Amino acid sequence: MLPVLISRTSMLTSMPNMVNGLTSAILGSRSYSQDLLDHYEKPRNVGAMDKTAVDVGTGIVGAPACGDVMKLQIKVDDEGRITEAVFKTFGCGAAVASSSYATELIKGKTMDEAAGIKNTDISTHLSLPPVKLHCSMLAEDAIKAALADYKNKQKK
Amino acid sequence: MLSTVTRQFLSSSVFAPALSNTFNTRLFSNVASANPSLAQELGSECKTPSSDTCMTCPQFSEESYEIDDLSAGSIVCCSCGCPHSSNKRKPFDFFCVNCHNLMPPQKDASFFQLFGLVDKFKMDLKSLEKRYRKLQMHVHPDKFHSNGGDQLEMAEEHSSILNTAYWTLRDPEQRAFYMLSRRGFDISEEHMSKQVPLDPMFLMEVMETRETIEEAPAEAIAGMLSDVDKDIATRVERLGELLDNDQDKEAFEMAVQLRYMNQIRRELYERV
Repeated sequence: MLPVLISRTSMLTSMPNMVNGLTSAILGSRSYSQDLLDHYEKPRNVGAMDKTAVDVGTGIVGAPACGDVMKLQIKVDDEGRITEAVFKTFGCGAAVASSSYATELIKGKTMDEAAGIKNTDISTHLSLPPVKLHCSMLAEDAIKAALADYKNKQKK
Repeated sequence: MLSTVTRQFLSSSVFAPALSNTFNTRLFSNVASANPSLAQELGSECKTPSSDTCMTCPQFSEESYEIDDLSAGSIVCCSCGCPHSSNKRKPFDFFCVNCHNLMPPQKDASFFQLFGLVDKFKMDLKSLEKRYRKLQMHVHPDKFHSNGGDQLEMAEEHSSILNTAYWTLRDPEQRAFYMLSRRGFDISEEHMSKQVPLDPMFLMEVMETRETIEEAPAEAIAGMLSDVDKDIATRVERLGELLDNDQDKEAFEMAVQLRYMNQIRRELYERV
């Protein structure tokens, strides 16, 4: 079986995505890893929180190269620990999987620990192909954006 | 009058219905385009209506060609042992005037130069398509199968470059990014996100719009599509102004926003 993943949105995105999928199909190699497919088909923590709530941090980031947009939200308790994390992503399979995995990674961590998460933690776990590495960067940026938004709110 | 190869090409290609009546096909044979005196001679008999742009005889409309001297006949290639006057060669000079052979493509030529168009955003799509088809008739590989070898290879290269150039210039978003890349912007994926900070308000709107589309009932889609089309038309207009005024940074931001809007449009169109 060739788990060549061409998601609905990625098929309509730029040629490179399609070429990547087709090339993998032709070469007969797996395009996406099992972990990535798992996160894409059964994403964890899809959802939304009230972005006006004081204990919620919202990060919205975009990738100009492909027109992807990613939203990641965190709920932080009084001790500065992330109790809940949800996301919503419009983009290719790798982007969805990266943000899904990111929410799993940060749950239960302190804000400092979450800030230390690097894109390589995500890309390695999901075995992202080189052309999709920027998706994990986007997820890292989303985490940082959510943390920054939360911190901003606490100042007010 | 038509050579067998040309006739085959005309009947086999997608262009067949439109082209077979319109063109004086003698004009587009290899010899005519490479031989200046013959071109001149044919030029006086050119059947192309004056409002069009004939690629062979020197009757170009000035707003497209900034060069007043076509000098298509002065270009010779190295393979026939004559001096190569490369500085006078234009990107669409495909043939050597002496040996009538195809010359290698000029890799550094801009897509605009290739079609003899002025380097600005506003594009007459009809004119572009006409030029594309006319140039393809000169260099399409189907005409070179009997020549074989290097000539066929070069024909394939020329044809492929023309193809890429045409499809890039046709689409406003791609045209804009192409123009920006020629002006020094790195439009590769790794650099894209670092170059321009995205407006957070805009991203939020995109997010909300895409969520709305996801949840929207079927009846609402047509209306949303029409709204998005209007937005895109406005942006394309604005993008043209920015690029033509050399406001490159603002143009880059607008091009990125256009990209997002096109993505939204594709989502909507899928649901129509």
